[in-house]
Amino acid sequence: MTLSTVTVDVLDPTPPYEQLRRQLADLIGSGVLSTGDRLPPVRQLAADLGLAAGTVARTYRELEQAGFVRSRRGGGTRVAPTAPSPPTPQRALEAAATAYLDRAEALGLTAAEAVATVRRQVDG
Amino acid sequence: MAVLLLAGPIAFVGLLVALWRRGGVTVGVDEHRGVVEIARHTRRWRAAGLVLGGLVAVLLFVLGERVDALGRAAALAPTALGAGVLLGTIAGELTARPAVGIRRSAVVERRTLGALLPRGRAVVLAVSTALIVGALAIGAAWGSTDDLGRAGRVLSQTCTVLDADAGPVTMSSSRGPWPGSFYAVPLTVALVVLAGLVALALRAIVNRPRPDLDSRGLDTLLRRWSVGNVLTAALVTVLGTLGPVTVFMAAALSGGACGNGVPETVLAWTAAIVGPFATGAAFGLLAGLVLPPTITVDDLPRPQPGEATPARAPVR
Repeated sequence: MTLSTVTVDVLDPTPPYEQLRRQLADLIGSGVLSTGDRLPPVRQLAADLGLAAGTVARTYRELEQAGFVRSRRGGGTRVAPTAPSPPTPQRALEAAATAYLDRAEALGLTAAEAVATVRRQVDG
Repeated sequence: MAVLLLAGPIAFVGLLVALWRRGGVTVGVDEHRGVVEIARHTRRWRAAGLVLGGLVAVLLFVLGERVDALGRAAALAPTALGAGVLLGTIAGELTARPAVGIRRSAVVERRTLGALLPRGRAVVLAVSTALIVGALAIGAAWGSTDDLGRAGRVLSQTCTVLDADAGPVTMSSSRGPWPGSFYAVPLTVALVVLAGLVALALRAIVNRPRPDLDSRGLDTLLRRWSVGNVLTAALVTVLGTLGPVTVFMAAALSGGACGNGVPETVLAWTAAIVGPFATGAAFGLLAGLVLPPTITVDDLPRPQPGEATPARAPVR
């Protein structure tokens, strides 16, 4: 049996909830976690990763809003029957751009400086 | 006295079984450090709980008569012992925190108690619990008020005997101590509290954070041992309570002025068999609590492939 694991890097500028969201979305999108599979309880996953329960709860909330999972009181969080279709190239590029801007912000650069850097790369 | 004579050999067999079945795992000096540290931490807490619980149990047993001369305090001794172990387990599991680094990984899994529960011990605990509940219920139902007005402390029987000279004579007898409501109420409250502690301890074990992923198998084994210890502590309490309760039942049901009916006879024989066995098993299982399975760290470095093994060094 293959183990599905998630990893969080606390020095990564991407917030832990977002790192977790992407990995879980990938596991669901790639079929490693299939419809009806139960995700770990929020407290368990938070304790295993040394994160606050609120961080994991936010990840689950965002996954639910995106249609990847369904949460039911007392029934835990399960992979939704119809997970969203894989992202289009445009959406993937937008996600990469968002991550790039997040990284630039973490480095103390403004969005305009980040765009200028991209432009310089394209031109030169 | 006869109970102790019968229970003694059973307890001795229990001790031998505990020694024989005492499992353990040996790991290298640098292997599975996270799990080894958690195992040591939880073992220290559990041992502290066992010592504290044992101390309170001995105090209740020895000095309990000063609090309650009729044995109600002494009857709580097994519960005190079990509660001590369970509180130690809860404290150890809740305070065990594996070291976290910058990169933290977790398995996407849902840990359940069912995967950790030793089935055999769980069934024995369920049967023992059913027996103690049944014994206390029958005791409370059949118990009568004694001559000093204490409800549910004696077994009273009334019958009519045909005397050759006087004709039909109504006779009655009261024998005790009988585990009626006088004893059953505090024992039931104590056992309910213990059940709550068992639930808390099992929850703490299942929810304890996992250390590094490479030690997943050993960590699961450690959790199984911990769950087993919790069930053993509960069993020691239940059997340690069931034993005396059934022994007093058997004693009160024998030798009365009125003969026993079928239900009384069946109960007397059942109690006479269960009493010594439960008492002995409780003492025997106590050995399992004192000698739980452990993770041993081998100080000698693991020999490299092709390296000559030093004389008398362990070969793995």
